[in-house]
Amino acid sequence: MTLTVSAAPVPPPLPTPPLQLAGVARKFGADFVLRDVTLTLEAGDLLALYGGNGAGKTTLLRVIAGLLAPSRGEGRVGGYDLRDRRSVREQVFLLEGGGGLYADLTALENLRFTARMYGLSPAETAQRSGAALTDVGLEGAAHKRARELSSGMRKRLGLARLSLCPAPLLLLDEPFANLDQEGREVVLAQLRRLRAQGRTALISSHEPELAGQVATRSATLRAGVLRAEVQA
Amino acid sequence: MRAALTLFLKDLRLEGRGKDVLSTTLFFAALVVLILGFAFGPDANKLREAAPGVLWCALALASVLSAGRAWAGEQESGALDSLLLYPVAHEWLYLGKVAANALLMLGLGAVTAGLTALFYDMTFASLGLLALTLTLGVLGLSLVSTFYAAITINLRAREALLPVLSFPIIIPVMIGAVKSTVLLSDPGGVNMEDYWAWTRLLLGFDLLTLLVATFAFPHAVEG
Repeated sequence: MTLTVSAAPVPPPLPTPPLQLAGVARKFGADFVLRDVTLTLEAGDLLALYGGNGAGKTTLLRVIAGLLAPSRGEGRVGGYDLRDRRSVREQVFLLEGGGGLYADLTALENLRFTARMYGLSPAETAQRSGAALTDVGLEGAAHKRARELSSGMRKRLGLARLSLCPAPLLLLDEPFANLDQEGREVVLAQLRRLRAQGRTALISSHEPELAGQVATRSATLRAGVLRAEVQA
Repeated sequence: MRAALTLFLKDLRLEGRGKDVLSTTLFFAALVVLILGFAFGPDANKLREAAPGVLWCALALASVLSAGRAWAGEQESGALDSLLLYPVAHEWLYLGKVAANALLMLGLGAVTAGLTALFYDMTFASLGLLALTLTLGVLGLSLVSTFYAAITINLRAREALLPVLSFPIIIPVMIGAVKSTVLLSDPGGVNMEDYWAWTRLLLGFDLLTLLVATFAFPHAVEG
């Protein structure tokens, strides 16, 4: 006689939110720059984070990216504890003001370097780097060194690096800063593309009229305190 | 491994274009050789005796400068954080930086050895063995200085701290490299038994430092 034990069907695992923060604080010296920030981003959320200079936006992004350790509180990025920096690095892409560019590499070489560091094959690197340049309207500047580009073009080149990064959570620090109208349109188009792809992003900005055009949610950070989260 | 190679090639490409590290370190090392020459005076025998020590002092000072520039370049271009955030093990970043720095230092070492030989009337019994000593010596210097340059990059007094931290650690390299170079420049011929003993010290130091620094690097930069 054979005894058969039928196991109950195992439910599929619940999707892990790309970002969960609970009471996260960060201080420099004796001063708290972030205070008890609690925030969850679901897959596909594009959260616009508003706040003036010194509100703590950049610090929050750097804590999420694992560049700064939280002084207090708990956080998970893609299910990984914030303190597990090696795993968190695989989940996030942080784009800061400088764009992570090398001044003496050409626009195309900068993107190829990014692609290779993200593990793309040489063939993928060649194909996707060219496409990323076209996405931000810089195909004509492919062989110009980054130092020869205007600040707006460098910003767009930095943004092109997004297309090469497979990380589930994108952190963009002031993507509209120091851009002319054409540059802002290119950034908006790039962000709309991310939204259409269902990617998750946290965009810090002090220009609600721009970030609000693409965000699915918004929140304001004042003196390190996250306030009034609203659905866009 | 791929990340280390990508970083290595990127650093060499940047150096090929800007020549920031090579030009400054070469000029600096040449000045050290020249100034110490004046300090020792015109006695040819004294200069010849001092030459190996002068060569390695110049290279040790230049290695600190070179490694400091390697990381400062990342920081000044605003790419340091991006580099640390790539989803690659930080050990590979360290190895890529060491490889690029050591290669530049090897070129610098060859030129500085030539200059020292010229100014101090030093001759070498074997250029092949000199190349081996230079390779092991500059690798040891690069392993140490690249490690400490990375962990001091965000400190205000990094230029002062870097030599303070790295020079005590490179003492075995200096002893091994200077002793090997003394043997190679001995007009009476090279005592091979002694030469291999000092070379083994250099090799052992390099291997040990490679293991320890590579393991410690992620912990050091992630703080």
